[in-house]
Amino acid sequence: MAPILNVEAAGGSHVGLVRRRNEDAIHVGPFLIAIADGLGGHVAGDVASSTAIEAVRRYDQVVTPDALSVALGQAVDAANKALRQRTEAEPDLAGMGTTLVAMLKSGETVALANVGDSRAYLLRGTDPLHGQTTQITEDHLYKHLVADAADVPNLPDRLARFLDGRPDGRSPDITLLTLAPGDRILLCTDGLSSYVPHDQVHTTLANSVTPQEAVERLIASALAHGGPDNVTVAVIYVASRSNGQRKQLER
Amino acid sequence: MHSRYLDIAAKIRDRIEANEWEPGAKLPRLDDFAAEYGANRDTIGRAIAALEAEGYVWAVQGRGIIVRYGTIRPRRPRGNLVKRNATGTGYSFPSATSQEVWKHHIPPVAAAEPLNDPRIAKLLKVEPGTQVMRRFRVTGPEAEPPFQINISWIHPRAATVPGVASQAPGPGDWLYRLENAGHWPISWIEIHRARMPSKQEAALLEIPTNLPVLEIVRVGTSGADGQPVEVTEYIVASDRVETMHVLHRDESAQDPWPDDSSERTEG
Repeated sequence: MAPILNVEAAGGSHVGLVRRRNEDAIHVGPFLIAIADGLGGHVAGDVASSTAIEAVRRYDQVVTPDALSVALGQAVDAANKALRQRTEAEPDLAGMGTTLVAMLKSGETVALANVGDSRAYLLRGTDPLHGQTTQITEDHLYKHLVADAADVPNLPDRLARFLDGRPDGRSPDITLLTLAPGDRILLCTDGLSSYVPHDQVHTTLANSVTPQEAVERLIASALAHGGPDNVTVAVIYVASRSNGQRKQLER
Repeated sequence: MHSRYLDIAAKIRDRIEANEWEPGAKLPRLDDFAAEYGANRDTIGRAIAALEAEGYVWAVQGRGIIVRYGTIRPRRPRGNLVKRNATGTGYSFPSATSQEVWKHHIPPVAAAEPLNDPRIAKLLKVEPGTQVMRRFRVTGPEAEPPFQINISWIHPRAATVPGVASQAPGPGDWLYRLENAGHWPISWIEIHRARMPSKQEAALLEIPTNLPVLEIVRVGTSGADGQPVEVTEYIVASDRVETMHVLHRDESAQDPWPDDSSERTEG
């Protein structure tokens, strides 16, 4: 019989210590968790990320496990369409773009979608101290697309994929994951992953008692490292239900 | 005078563009449309055919009329990096990323077949007509229509490697097995061409027959004996992919222009 899982999530966002405006956006709901990072250097990065998050919010609902990837694909498509409608209505916004990392869950299955360089990490193992935190998304940067990106100035770290509403919208990576008791999942923008050393992210995720505590400590770490960028994190803890809860559920 | 079927096609097109049906959803049956628009079934059929030619819908025998990814067709960049796949032993070839396991749209087939295409036979260095292990897959990113057809031909000297003919869980697992059996490291080149799809290819990719495809032929050379060990043909819907290339300077273009070059053009 499939284990009955208890999934708890928390999220938070901080403008950081340098930027004037928070161009990240986040949604933490019962089924969908999503983070978007508006592209800097473009006009209205904050409009892009919040438009994308507004659009995917509609997909925060029950779906069967076998429909997860399609529902999440439609959510990403909806985010791209929303960006297009927004720029059509307000041409001054043309050129705005955003990353998107999202997780949609159904029972013990989750689908992850990623466009850009916001990340998902998984810490697996019932004893977190002995587990590892591994990145389970690939950053869509040119250095991961072509072997010779470094031969062109500034190309390696540029985004090869992001959402900007263009009609030939960029395809997200969608991967499926089966949850196990003890799993901890972290979604974050590069305001965390670019500045806080990986070991510290792992230790914080492993040692925090609740997702809310992990969120607060991770954001505090980013600020302690200078908070150069907006930082947004969502943390998901998976546990098996206690016997009492299981009985309640079966009744 | 305007044709009735074109009027109806325009009405259905507007409804598709207004997102009345999600991409991948089925349209009402011809009879339902006929009743709704007070037209006969044949007129509706012609309207649907017009929309199919425009790429809005895709009529599949036995499945009905499916809405394609309308105005947003997700497109993938395609680079030149081969990555280890994170989910098992095997590789992610472009356009897949290291974390992905692409969806199979038909059950994969692995069986010995005569290799009749003289071009592929020459690249694999076998005589045309030779029985060769052939792996056939139709794959793509999750939640999207089929992205590419993959046909791999494995050289007879390597076809008996255990596992090469089976469908392992991870992508590109058979290449890991070839390398494990002594062909490490395989190196690859690709030849890209654009062409029109065959009727069967168009059906497998869920595209109209008038949409070009990108045909990529990859040759894998064994690190052991320097001879071809596999040739893979990819057929990719051309509206789903863009290829990314960094240009390199030839030796003749490495050095800076001499100081007098600007004076020369002026003079």
